[in-house]
Amino acid sequence: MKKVITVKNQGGKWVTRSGGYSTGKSHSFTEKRSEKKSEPTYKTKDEALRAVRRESTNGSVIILHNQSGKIAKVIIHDRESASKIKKAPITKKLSDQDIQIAIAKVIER
Amino acid sequence: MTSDFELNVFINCPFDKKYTPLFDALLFSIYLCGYRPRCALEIDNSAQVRIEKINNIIRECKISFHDISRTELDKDSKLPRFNMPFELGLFLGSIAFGSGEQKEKIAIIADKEKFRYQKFISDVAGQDIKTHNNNPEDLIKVVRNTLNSINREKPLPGATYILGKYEVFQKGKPAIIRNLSLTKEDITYSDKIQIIENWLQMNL
Repeated sequence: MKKVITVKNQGGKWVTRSGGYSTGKSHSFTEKRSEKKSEPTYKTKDEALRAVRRESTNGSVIILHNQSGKIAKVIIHDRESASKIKKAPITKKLSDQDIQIAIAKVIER
Repeated sequence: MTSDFELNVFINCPFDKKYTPLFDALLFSIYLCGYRPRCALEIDNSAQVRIEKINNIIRECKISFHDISRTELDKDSKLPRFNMPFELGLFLGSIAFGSGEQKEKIAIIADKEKFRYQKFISDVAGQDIKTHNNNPEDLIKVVRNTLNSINREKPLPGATYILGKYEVFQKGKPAIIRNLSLTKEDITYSDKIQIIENWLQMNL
């Protein structure tokens, strides 16, 4: 179970939403996101991000939305899983951040 | 600490559209087992002679996966495809004639049907030829179980776990590709690798 924290602007306030999605057998990509647990609000994006960073010590994916609601950035706080993946020596054509945003859109769908 | 050589898995398989479901399953399961796939598609340098490229990768890989299931007559040319058996020969040759760590190399050979290989490459008789039935699930099981028997450090995730992850990945993949403003025809080997690596980082 991966912890996903979404940071987005709602009605002028910045909301952080914690959830998780399971990737086990028979689970669809979206349907097993657990119910939201809490939605603390913050005046600024920086405040929200600071709070999220405190919460996301390990095993988290932070999906950061911009003012207009689009996903702007994905932050992976998970040193353990990052080290499990042995990256292949390829010439990268795509940006990793673009791919992570594309994946985050599917997670949030 | 495990060296790159020990984690590199040389992939010798067809790269055509028909083989894509098996190739994708192969790449995904190698990553999830903690190994790193290597193949001739990774080098985007047309100046380098293909055989040199393949030899260099073979030299850097302790493990190899050879799929000889496409040793069959081409519909148009009526000729067999020899690349896979040829590269298998190169890999086995590196074990036989190489020195040092090259002697420690391990070849995993798979075909679509049991004992079919005896009709066209009987020289590999005596090796444990795996069967995948042209089925990605069977291929994942073959890869996982064989890598697990090689891995001496700790048991690898079970085949059911890997299949579950792969199923989720496959369901989300079309949308991921669309979100990148690409189509599945646009996706190159390096794109495919980057998508799998990032997906696993966000989902493991």
